[in-house]
Amino acid sequence: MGKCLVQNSIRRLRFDAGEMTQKTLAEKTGVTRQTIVAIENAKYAPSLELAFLIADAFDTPIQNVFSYRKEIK
Amino acid sequence: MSFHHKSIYVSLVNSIIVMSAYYWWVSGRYADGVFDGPNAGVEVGKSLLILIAAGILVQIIGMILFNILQAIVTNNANPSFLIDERDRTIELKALKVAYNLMALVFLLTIIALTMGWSIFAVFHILVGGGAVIAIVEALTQLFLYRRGY
Repeated sequence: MGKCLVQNSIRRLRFDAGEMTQKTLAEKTGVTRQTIVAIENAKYAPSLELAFLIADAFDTPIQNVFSYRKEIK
Repeated sequence: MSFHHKSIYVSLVNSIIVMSAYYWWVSGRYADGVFDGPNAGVEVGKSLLILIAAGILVQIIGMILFNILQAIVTNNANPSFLIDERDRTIELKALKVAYNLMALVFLLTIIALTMGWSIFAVFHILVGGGAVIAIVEALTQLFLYRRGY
């Protein structure tokens, strides 16, 4: 697995949600804060289930949270 | 740093303590000639059983001390023991490395057997290999945590 090609807007969505903390998002989705940090920094691509849970935490469709960037060769 | 991440450091330290103590103890017994003669197999077996028992005991004590220390340092009597999908992914990746190394150690053991090495030497290739594998597995997990996944 090379560079993570799954991009996300979690930082912006947290800001829009009244500066929701990473800890709060982690509690809402049932993962550790470190996992949220890794996802937010695009270092870890979450499972489909966790991706839906994160989208649900922001009450928005999944495509507003995650996007796939095609690798340019 | 999650609970799982921290516990890897504890396991790493425990492995190093147990294996260092074991090899120090066994080298003394080896110098005394305990592993020579017809009872060598029995003595090797006894040593390994003691190693397993000591390993479990040190691991339990280490984790208890770690939890007490963590509660004091973080001032949180009910820390989170949550292990999520990223922890499990990291664990599995490190386990894969460990299995590959185990195959190598097993091969070395077979080669040692075919070369006519003593039971003591053969079993201690396995034990030493196991220690190296445990340390490499822990270091792999720490590397993956640092990298992100």
